[in-house]
Amino acid sequence: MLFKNKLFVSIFCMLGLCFSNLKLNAQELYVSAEPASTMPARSIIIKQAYSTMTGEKTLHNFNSQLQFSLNKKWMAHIGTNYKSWDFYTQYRFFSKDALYEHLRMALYFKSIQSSSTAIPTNAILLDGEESVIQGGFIITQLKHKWASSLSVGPIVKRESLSSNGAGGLQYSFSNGVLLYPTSYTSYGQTNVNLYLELIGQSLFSGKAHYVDIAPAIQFIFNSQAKLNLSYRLPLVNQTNRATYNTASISWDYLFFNALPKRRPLKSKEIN
Amino acid sequence: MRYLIIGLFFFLSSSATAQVQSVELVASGLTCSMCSKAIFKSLSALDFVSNVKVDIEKSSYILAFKSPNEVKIEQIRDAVYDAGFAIETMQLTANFPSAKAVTDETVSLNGYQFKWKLLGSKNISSPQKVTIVNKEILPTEGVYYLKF
Repeated sequence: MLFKNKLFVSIFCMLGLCFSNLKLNAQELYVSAEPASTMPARSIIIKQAYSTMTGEKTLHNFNSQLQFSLNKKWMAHIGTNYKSWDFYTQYRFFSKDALYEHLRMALYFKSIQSSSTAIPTNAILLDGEESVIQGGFIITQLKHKWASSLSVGPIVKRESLSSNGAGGLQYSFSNGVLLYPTSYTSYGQTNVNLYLELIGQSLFSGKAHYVDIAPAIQFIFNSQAKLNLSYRLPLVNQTNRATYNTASISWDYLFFNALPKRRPLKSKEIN
Repeated sequence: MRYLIIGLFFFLSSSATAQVQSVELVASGLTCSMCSKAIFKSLSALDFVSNVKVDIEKSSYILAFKSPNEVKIEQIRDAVYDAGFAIETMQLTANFPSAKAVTDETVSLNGYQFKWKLLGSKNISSPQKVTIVNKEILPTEGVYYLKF
């Protein structure tokens, strides 16, 4: 019953985000997932995040991350939470832009190398408690006031790479809108964005399955720095995860044109 | 070597080529101010650009230049693509050497060859604002057009 209520509220909120006030602009600077869009070429982001995970036990997680893009299509992140290292890379292979809208597709790969001695669960953990490899596909549609993104791809614990059926599917569905300002006049305006994201995992064996919902609010300062607040909780949880509610706060700062300029684009690269 | 050839071509053709005074472009694929700032920063970093005036709501950017001779249209185009977006329209304000535009007649603009796309002919005022018809902005292959 509780699940049905949560699901109903979530779907209602998402529809609300999608079809609300026509003045709203879409936002795809998601807090929990990556959009298919890439960072501006030659830019660097430094990011610091803190999260408290609760459930059967409580964990605190500090994560520091360096993100960079060498060109307009390729970007990478390197991060650590001091008991694990994570590496993420994403390549945008399709982009169709029009005025106030775009459709983009990308491929991603993520690897987490953990030194944690956490007790294994039947879910594959992505919070640095386990060594994990994942990859997949992202599609993002931005259309005026509506920005949605879907990601899906296989995931596997490093220790079970050789066993058949040990992996699963990781997926996400993200929506976002700009709440403030109602019209842009300068880069100095503080932006307030609202997000509603679903994050799910299903093991191929059918033994574990979860779908979490992660609402978030985001403040953007000077069109360059972000402050994110989010709370993630399970909608469906058929796992024995020890932690399943996560409160997070993170900030990041974008340095434009931080890396050296590359050669001019060739005509066939224009897309 | 490639740049030397382009530079030599530019120098030889400069007397008969139109000189771009300012550029007004509308970028596509964005709605957020952070995205707009990425384009602004990318355009501002071009060494021949002296000023960029932005309308964030309309995604439009008006570029002023240090010297018309130094304007590289392909670098303006690349700056927008590098920021992660595309160009919806690019309008150029230029001084044209000829006083008349005739349809399908070739015109040189900062060293690049375009053709006029219009009905019949039209007198050109100076400076004259024109729009590049082709989405790719600069000639790669085929015929590229300017219109009023």
